[in-house]
Amino acid sequence: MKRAQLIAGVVLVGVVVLATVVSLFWMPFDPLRVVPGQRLLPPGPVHWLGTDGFGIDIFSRLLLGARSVLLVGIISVGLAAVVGIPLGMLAGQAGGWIDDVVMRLSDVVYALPALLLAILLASVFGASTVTAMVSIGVATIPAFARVARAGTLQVMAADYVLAARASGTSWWGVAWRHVAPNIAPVLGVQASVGFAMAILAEAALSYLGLATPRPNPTWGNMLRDAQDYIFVAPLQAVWPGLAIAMAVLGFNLLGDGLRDYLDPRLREVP
Amino acid sequence: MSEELFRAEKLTRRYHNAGREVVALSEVDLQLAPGARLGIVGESGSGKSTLVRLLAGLDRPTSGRVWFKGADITALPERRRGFLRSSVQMVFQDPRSSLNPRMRVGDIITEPLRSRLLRPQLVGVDHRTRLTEVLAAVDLDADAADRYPHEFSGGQRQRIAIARALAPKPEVLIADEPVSALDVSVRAQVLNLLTDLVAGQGLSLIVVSHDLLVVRHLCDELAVMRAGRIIESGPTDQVYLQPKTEYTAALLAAIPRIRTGPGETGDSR
Amino acid sequence: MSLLDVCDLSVTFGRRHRPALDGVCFSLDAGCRLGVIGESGSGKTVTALAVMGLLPEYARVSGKVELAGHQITHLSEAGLARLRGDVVTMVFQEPMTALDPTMRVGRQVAEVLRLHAGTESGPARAAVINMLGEVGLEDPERVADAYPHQLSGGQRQRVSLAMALINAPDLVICDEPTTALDVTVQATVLAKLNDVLDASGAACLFISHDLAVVSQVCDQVAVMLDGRIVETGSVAELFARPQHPYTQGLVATARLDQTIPGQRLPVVEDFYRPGVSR
Repeated sequence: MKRAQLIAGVVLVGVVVLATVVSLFWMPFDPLRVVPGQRLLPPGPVHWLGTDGFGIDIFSRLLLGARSVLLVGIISVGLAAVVGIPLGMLAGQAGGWIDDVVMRLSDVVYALPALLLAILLASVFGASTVTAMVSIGVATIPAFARVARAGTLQVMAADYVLAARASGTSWWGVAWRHVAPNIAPVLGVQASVGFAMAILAEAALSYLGLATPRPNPTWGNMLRDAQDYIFVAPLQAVWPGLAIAMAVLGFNLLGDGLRDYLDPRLREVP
Repeated sequence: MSEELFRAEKLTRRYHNAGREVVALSEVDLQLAPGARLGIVGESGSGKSTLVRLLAGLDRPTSGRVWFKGADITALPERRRGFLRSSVQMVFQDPRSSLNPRMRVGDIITEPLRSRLLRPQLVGVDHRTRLTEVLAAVDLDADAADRYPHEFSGGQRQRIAIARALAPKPEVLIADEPVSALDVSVRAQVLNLLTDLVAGQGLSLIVVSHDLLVVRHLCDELAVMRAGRIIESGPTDQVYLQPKTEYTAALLAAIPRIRTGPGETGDSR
Repeated sequence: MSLLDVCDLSVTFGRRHRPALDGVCFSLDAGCRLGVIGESGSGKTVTALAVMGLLPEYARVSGKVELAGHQITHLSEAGLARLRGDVVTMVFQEPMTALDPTMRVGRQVAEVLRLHAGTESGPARAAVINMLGEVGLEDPERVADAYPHQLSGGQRQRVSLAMALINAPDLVICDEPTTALDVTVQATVLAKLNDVLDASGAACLFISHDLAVVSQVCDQVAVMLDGRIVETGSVAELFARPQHPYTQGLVATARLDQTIPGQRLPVVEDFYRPGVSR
């Protein structure tokens, strides 16, 4: 059962990755060129998923959209991890006032909605993929910091850290050899779940026009375009919606699967 | 001055726990000569672990002072504690917690050798040679170095912990409940090993335990602790055979002994 | 007819693992106390879980476990739940994790009573206080209103004991109940266990790695090794004339009080080496 979950997650995530790779070499039609004569075609042998209101092949746009899903996910989760994990480890390992300062700061960021940040950045720099990535990334920092801190506290309480200190291992040695490898699994899970959140957030932002601007397709802005024709061509809205749902489900399943797979307590037989 | 290994004067350690002050150790004086084998017994919360952690320089006292080989280590900054870290090594109660599950045994054992703090003390020690030496000293196969802790039994894991403590060639071994997480059947092996090592390598030994029998077997001096103070001390035989305090007598009586007949009530009741 | 009858019980976890239990047979009469001794991994805890019907789903079980006329291996989860806490109860090694940290201990004990005896909350409280007093807790009123973390390890283990005994079960299973405790606390908990077992007349399956501890509570002992029972007998007999080499080793290592300090202690391997004799 657990294993099936993990496999389903890997397959769904694999589809997104595959779509991205394929889009780099081949797309059935130009996903940016407007063809007025071919508007709102239903799915068929030529246009597998039909065409949109500009006469552009929907399947090609979905393929191209997968790129921005991965890009935004990787960059925003990466940003959150690179800032959040060291901060969380610092807080957990140093304790005292450093812990207090870091965690209160993280609370402040946590209280700030990603949407507000996205609007702010978009109004200053103009809405782009970059502003979306930054605002999602910043909003996810506290999640990583908290998970890293909780894991670090747990490791710091173990006797092997005491033993390491008793033999003169430095602060960095403890962080690098003891804390990092032991909290890596939970952070991996957090990254996978964070990826799912980032996909959702990116879809929402681009739906609102606060991320990648047209004509470049994202699943979020495809959904928004489809809205105009919702009664004429309802299927048009189904495709990007389905893509978003599957990708989010995939990363969540992968995260849950990893959690169970990496939890040593579930592997040891009594 | 240099004739004593450890000296502690009026050692006190208080903790703040959820707004309440807990006195873990209260004005403890202690002297230990090189080559001594000291056992510290008491119930959990008696302050015995706190005391040895202060001696090992893993915690700092609220008040009082500690000397190691004549040098005051009480307020010494970490970077100048290299001599202490290489000379005093600890073995902990539960090898499941004291060995990093994600490190290979070889890396665990040589970790003390890689410490920058200890490098000046360990000039000319080759890591691989030392690894082979200490693995042999604790009766483990050389190929154990490439495996992970979870592949070993409880007794073997405690041997690994002992090997790690031996690696930087310490003078003092502090064992905090070294056998109480182990099965009785494995206990004897680890006790034999500790006895052999102390005799063979001329180590000083401090053993903390709640079990008087374990301490009696390993140590020639005994200190009984209760509520943060040493309430009785002396040569092991004397304390064991003629306890001066009721508390020590109660500790002795509590040791479970084999009760062989249904009619016999057993020594402990 | 005996209270508990275990016959040819085998348990395997996963396909590739060797069996955790391999043809285990023993029986326990009402009111009798059997100690199961062996080292970690010998299968003693698995035996206890099998009797409780608490083995995980993926365990493959064969053989017979008959408790008070019920076939444990064939019972539904609902049927098992009716037996547990009523006919058979269990005391675990770690009293901190065995008690719910968010619930006052009095309520936790009362819960067991209410679940099986259907007692109203007024009389239940009186019964709980009475039981807490019986397991040797001073000021049971105050203990009943405390949360688990406010109690000491010994007090918590007594609360577990009270929980296990309040429904007057026919069988109490104790899995290393004193291993996490100090020797002094262990002595008092064992003494109290003896008292309450005497008073209630319940049978006991006592699991431990410590022969001395087992001998304080039980008259009969079964020695487990690698999922099998290699020897059974009374404590006196087993101690005086151990038959199996492994038992001989266990007996030899159990007598730390009779050794000369500093001398080499006998170890199990002096008597028994795995793979040499079976």
